[in-house]
Amino acid sequence: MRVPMEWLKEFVEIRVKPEKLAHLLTMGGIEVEAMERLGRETIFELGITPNRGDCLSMTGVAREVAAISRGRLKQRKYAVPRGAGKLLSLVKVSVKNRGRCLRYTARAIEGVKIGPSPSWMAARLAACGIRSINNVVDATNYVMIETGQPLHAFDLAKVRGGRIEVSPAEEGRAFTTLDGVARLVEKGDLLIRDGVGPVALAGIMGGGDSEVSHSTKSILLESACFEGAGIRRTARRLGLASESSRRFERGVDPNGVLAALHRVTELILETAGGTPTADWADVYPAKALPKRIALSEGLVRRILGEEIPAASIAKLLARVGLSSGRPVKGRVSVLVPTFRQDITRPIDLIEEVARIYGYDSLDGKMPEVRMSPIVRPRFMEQEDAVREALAGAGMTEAVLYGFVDERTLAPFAGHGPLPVRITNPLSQDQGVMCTTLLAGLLDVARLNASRQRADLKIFALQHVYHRPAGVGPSDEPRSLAGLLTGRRNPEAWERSKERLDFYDAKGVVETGLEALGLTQGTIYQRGEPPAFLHPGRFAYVLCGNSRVGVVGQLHPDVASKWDLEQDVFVFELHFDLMAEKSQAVATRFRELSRFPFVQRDIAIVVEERIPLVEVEKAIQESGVELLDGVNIFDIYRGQGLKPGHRSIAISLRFSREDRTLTDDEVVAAQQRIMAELSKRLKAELRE
Amino acid sequence: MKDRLLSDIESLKREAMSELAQVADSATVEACRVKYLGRQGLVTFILKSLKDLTVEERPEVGREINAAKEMLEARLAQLRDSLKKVELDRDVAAQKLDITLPGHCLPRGRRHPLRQTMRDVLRIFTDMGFSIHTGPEIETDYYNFEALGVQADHPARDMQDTFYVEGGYLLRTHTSPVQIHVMENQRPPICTVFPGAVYRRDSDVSHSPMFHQVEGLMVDSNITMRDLKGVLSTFCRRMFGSGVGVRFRPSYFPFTEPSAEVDIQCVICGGSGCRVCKQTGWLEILGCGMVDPVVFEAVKIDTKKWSGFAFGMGVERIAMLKYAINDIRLFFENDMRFLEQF
Repeated sequence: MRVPMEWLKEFVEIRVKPEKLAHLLTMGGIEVEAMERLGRETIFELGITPNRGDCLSMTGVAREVAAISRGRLKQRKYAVPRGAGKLLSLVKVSVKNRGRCLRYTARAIEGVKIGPSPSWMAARLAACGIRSINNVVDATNYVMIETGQPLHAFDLAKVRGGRIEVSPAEEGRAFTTLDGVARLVEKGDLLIRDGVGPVALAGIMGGGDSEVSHSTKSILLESACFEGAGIRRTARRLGLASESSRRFERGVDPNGVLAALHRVTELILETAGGTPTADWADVYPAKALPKRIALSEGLVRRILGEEIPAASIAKLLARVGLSSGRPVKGRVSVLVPTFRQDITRPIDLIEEVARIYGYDSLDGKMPEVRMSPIVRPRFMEQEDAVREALAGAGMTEAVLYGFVDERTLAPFAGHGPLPVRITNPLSQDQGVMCTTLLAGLLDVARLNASRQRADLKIFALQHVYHRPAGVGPSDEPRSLAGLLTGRRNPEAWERSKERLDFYDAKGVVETGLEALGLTQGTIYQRGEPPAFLHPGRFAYVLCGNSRVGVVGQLHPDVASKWDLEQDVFVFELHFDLMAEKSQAVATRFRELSRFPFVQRDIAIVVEERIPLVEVEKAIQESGVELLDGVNIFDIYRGQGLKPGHRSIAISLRFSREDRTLTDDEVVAAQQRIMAELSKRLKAELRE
Repeated sequence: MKDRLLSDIESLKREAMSELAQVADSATVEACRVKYLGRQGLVTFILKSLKDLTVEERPEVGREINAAKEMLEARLAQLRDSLKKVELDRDVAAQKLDITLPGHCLPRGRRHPLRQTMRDVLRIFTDMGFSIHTGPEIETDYYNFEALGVQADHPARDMQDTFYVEGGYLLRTHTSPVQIHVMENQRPPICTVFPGAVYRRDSDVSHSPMFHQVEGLMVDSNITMRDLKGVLSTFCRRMFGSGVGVRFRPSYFPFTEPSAEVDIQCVICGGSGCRVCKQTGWLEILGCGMVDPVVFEAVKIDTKKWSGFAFGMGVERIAMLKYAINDIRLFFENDMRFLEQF
């Protein structure tokens, strides 16, 4: 809300400089978001919180200024303008739904002369960001800014059938508001109707047909108090927030309605002439009365932690217009005026006490509580361990949006879970919650490639979202995904030309699993390839007996959808599943051997189709008890070998925990392993 | 015979020592050893001549020649050691590298600045004794709004424009629903923080449709606003430095009463006023307040026995201030030039 100082000074004495006042208001809960200078004029831009509808006016802000800076309020008295003739002879006012319209007042002025507003009025409205229309409309806006009471003027000639009725719509229908837009009114929207049909969306905007125009001769003024929630429902549905609806939503004082009607009548007589009716309509079936709320100094102490005697509480509250009699037994009984609709409970009064007392006057201290061990969410430590391990392995972490373009999920869809759809997305490319992190990582790869960064090693560890099979909440498991493309060590001058491959991606997966203590019992297995992966260069990752994810080269077809021409390697793992398993892993110390080991290197030739894991398995299962370790250190294809064969160089380590090995034992063990290899895999020793 | 041998030993010693004094490399040392101590060497020759002496003469000459031999051996060993050192120094001096070529390092990856900031924030609170809880991002209207005192037509809903998803759910607009989950599952005392992603329909340089929050809740039998000030001032000073100014000013949130916003002295200009703090010298850093009785009623916690405070902050905002980042969207773009700075 924009507040020109010069206008505000009509209602309160200001004894401090604008900078000082801005600081005081901010520290008192009326935040001065900006200060604007226009010539000699200073305009405050106030951020009024939704609970303080009463501050959406000069008089409301003036009350705060008076309370906070201890300036004197200037009470202004307005005379009730006299007139001639009965309103009833022109229009009959009735209210159908009293819960939705707490008070409705109206008065007519005949013989007005529509024209431009006086310049002082137009200038003040402009300073508040309101465009000048004509003298009648401007007067209604002017009084709204002054008092906080929204007002409306109808062209009396356009009010048909001599009737004004306030009632909710019984059925949907079109209605054109004065901004020229045809709106769809729904059943239950509160309407102002004449004898024929709607003339205004109550509290939101008037109708185009009954709008005051240059040819208007007589007007009907409306000053009313509509129930806020209903106004808000309609305004929000129509996407039509007006200065008027904003005030009704936040609460308008029903006891200020008539005074505003008189004030606007007076102003219009001054700027547009005419003769008002001698009387006015005032439908106010249930008069709102000030509430009484009791507040004890004990409760104040319990919430604020400060001893403030009841007498001081009464004084603090009096500064914001909350009067109370003499305190009795540490309690005050506070009378809350009807314009403070935000104050309904003792706790609301405590906030007022704290605000005026000053938050900065409360001394901070650390709580005195009983100590108790803290808890952390499931898998938080595992998340941290994996993030550290992957960063240590050269992977940089990305944070992805939870939503993606549904079309980018298509390559990964398969028979996986369905995405959760957002019904009101900001745009198509943020239309669904992601079911995989790979689409997001590919977006990151494309962005970086377009910015001359082709070498990339990135990962993300965050939630994905699965639509439930039936009704009920969606599932939000964590996923760990990575993407590697380009050169392995672009910065290393000796090896900068090496390119990343499948085994780099697999290595990162192994690093992640190791951080979770899951190296033992992890298997990489072929199978029916997912459509988005290269069928010959991918593996399913199995922990124990359950599939926890995949690692492999992205199908070139899919990579090209993201404009990535080079090989892209990815992995995606069910993090929660792995973390669950990692909890069962216990580290056990194994005694260090006091005896030396013996190492023998052998090279065998096997058919290309035999996977390495079979070679390892044959060695492990050869029944050699002395075997202590197997390590593959070279793979060779080509010259000197039969076609379709490869040579595998293996380092075998033998040891015993109770003594040093003899040469004969080692030779025998080695022969036994070789025999097993040739029996199972037709392996030959390479000469 | 004896005298001649003794004088031979004497002159041999002199000759050998003066020869050894000239030696400058290990090869010559070895040649000297062969010349004197080798199988055909001069010392060996004298030793062999001992047999020509009488039994009485032998011990004296023998002692002399052995002494000469030991002396020579010692001298040779000494020379070998010192020359070895000289030669090693010479070799090493010749082995020069271009030390300005980069070192071989395993390229290190980076942790995302948001995750680092989140970790820092959580650590400050766990150090003070706060637990950590999390909750779902796809929520119901009840947990996100109603249980927190924000009814369907509450004007406060304007403060948070909401994404809705199919099935009548929504993307939580703040981490506050976790408050309700925690209080439904646990009776006071409660002392916990809840980190996580939240969503609002908003997108510009300072608003992202997804961002991260850390909220906190403390409920006990004697918690007051002074405790809230103590805990949150401690947080601000640990996060932004012990000298940073902190102020609390009244604000409004539907689920706290009294409510406050916490400002820290501008970390960019130090409080003198700049573009980042809009010339005010202060930066809003978090919202907080005493838990509103409405919230306690929703989770059936007796307000006569318990009181508490709640607070919430945006992790992006804290990271932006900490690292002087000027556009929130950079966090989610994941440009490597950005990520590699942290």
